[in-house]
Amino acid sequence: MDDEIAFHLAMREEQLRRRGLAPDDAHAVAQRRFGNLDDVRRECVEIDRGHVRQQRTITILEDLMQDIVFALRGLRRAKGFAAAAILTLAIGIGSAAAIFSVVYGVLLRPLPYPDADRLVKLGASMPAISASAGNVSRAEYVDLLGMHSFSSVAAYDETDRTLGGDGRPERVYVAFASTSLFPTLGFHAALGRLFDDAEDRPGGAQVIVLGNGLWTRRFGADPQILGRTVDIDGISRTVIGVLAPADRLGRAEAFLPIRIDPAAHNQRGNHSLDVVARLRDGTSIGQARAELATYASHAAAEYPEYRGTGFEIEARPLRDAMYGDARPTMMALLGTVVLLLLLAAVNVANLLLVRAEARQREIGVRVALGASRGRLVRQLLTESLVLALAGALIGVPLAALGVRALLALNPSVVPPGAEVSLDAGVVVWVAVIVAVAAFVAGLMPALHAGRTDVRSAIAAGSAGGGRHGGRTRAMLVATEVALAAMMLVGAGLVGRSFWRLQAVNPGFHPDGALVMEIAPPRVRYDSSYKVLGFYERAMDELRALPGVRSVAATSNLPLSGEMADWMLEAEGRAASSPTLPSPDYTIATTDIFPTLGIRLVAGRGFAATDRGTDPPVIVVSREFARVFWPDDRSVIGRRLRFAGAPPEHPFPWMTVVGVVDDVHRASLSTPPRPTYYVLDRQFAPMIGQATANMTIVMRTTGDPEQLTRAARAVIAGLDPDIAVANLRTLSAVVSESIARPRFAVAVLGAFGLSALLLAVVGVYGVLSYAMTRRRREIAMRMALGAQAGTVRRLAIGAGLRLAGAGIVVGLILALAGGRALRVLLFEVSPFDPVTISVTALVLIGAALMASWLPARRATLVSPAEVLRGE
Amino acid sequence: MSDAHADLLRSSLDLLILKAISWGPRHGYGVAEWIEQATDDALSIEEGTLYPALHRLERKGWVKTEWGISDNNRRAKFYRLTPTGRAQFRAQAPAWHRYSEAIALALRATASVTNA
Repeated sequence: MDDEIAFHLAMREEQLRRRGLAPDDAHAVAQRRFGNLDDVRRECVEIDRGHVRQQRTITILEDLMQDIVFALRGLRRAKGFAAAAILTLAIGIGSAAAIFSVVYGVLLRPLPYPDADRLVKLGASMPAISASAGNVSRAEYVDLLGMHSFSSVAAYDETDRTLGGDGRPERVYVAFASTSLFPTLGFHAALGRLFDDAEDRPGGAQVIVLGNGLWTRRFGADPQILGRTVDIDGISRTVIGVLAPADRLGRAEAFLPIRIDPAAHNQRGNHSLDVVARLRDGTSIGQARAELATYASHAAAEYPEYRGTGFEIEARPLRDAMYGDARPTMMALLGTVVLLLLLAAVNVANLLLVRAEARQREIGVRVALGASRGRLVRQLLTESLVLALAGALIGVPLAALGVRALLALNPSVVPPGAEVSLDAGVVVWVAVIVAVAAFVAGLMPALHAGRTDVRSAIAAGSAGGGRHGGRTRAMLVATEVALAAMMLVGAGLVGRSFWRLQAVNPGFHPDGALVMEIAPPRVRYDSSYKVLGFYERAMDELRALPGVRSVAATSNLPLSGEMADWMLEAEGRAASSPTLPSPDYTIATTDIFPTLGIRLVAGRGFAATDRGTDPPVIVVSREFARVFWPDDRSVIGRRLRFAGAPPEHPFPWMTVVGVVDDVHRASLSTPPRPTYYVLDRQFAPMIGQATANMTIVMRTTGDPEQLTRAARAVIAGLDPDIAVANLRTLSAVVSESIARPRFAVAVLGAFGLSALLLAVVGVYGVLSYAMTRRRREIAMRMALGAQAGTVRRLAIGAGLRLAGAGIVVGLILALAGGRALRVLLFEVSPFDPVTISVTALVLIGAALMASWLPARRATLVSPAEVLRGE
Repeated sequence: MSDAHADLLRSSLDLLILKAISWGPRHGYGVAEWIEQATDDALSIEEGTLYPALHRLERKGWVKTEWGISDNNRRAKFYRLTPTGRAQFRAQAPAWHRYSEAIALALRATASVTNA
């Protein structure tokens, strides 16, 4: 710029001097005519800078386009290589995207509530009797309302009820909720309004707020829905509002006021509420926990209900409480898929290296013609990016379909309420995955090519490349084998664990029985007499069906996720005796043990002679007897009663008449807890209320599936307004309870097999190539008298050495990382020697298999030809 | 100078520059000289303003530059029209003529044209 201005001024001065001006005057006039030098200079420099920036961007874009076109042309010429690379990447990227969309939905996607990380779930626990910490009692909830750490506290109880009244009874999940639930979770009414405090009081109006999904599904998104009535369990409720589509809580499709009355009886000991609270601004969860601890210790001292049991309240971040169970499985899946992606990328890197060696000459020429190393590297990386994108285009849609199919078959893999779908957040991550794949695959070959020595490259032509390339490839394949080893160990451990799990004896006979959940609407079945009567009639009619051996009903079906516990007092035991756990209880009908196939260990089961008016009897489980009376050989005749009654009106004593085998109730992997069984007709007069919701179990002689329609017809015939829910075989119940581990096994197994395949192909490729390069050496050996067997052994030895390094490294890494899998494993150690040795053997076998063909080909070399040809 | 005024002046200057180099490459001083002669020295502009205009034209891609030797053996930066620049000039020059004629016509009007 300065030169330009100087030139201009010089020319002007010359012209002025020619016209007769003195040199000084000429200089002054020239400057004046020009104007402000600094301003002009500054402006021009600014303009130029912008220009340069523009040019640079254009150049980069042009280069990129050129690279892409070049890459595509090159790939079209090497279709075989392109197909192999794209397929491998499709598998890696597709699997990664699929698993990632599931993991994202469960672990990472923000909960659909504003400031969801300020929400916590509160749960009470009674440490001395190891009772669970998920729920809260009504009186405790009222106490929690006064905590300073929370800006709002809400209670809800999610349960399934019959939605009916129009002849189409349907079991839906509803949530009884306090008015504070809506502001706590940030719910808004899309139509109408949400309930107010007047409705949330005992005696308030019967109202209901519909979830958006239910409104659309069952009521056709009727805009006139407000004011209409809906029948829940026979009680008419007025629709006052519909929630916005994004507002979801677990499986609840509608919300009803919970009407907590803290003054009512036994409201402190009965823990059935879920409580969610929002931390006050500026309060940390640690501070909240401190306040809760203070409250709990005061309450434990003050209230008799906690005597002997202890009392604590826990606060867990909401996401953790809702989905925490699924975390170990998700992390295992994520870890494995990362390995698979890495494996696919390494495999492609290997392919690219081979290809690079074949293109040595071409690259050499380009370097000679002036391509900078940076440009070359960029070009090759673009190539791998193109491959990765192609792989993604194929893999991702297939993955999306696969995920949808898999979840449709295994819905319980994902916790209820978690949303798994391919949306913006997931797509961003898929893009990252693709970039990583491209980078890992392309980096080594690209850098390798950049180091090409021009002269030797052009001279060497096609078979060059040198030792360097061979060693890199061998290292890559060893890495592949290591990765495959890790994945196979993981799959093996999880597989063995699942095998053990599904072989666990549940404590009852799953095969040959049908179950269904029934809920007679409370409004018409408002007395124990009516409830008990209905079940008796239903069971009589079901028993009369051909193919039915016995029928019974139970309040909690094992392994179905339903559990309830109620503390018992044992006769002859002082109130301050060492604390006992709160046992699980089941209300059942007479034939429950033979129908479910639970073995009798001592005494007797229930009989028809145990009438409702007789002194109540109780049957306990073996674990119950062991825990409550550890030193006694016979517990028959001992007496127990329900705890929680006021001391002046205690519950009547129940006499133990039998002991049955333990049953897995929570899951096959959880050891059975102490359990007891009470007859429904004896329970009702004790408590004053019959258990209305029961599961009916029918033991059949043939295939239970055959009876589904008949069973449904019986119930409909007795009362068309009663919905039958979860009609399935008992073996299906057991199978669903282990759905998540089964899913993990299936996915990890599939990945492990893919890994094995890729590793075998990798070993084969490298060995093939190595044998080709050692043709001369082999020819010489054969000429000097070596037998085919020796040559074969040479080849196989090379193959085993190659794989061996990978196997050793892989197994060491697998052992190192094994501890992480411990949570997922059932009765299998993460260092299980059987799995490790089997994996090693499988990989050695695979390496042998991969080496066989190259070894055979090596022996077919004709020494004379080779030596002459060199 | 108001924005509209500046814009108008800038585009007129651009047109003059494009015309100046339409016969062949010139350096910045050469362009200034030509404008002086062609307008009969009626236009007195600060010569410095030519340079930002020239650089802007280069950024737009209407002119290309290269360093060369001037008539009196000095090193100078020469500006040359690109095909795009030539096309732009051919499009804009007539439009400018029409515009200025329209203004001149309006300014020469002796009677008011609005209805009483």
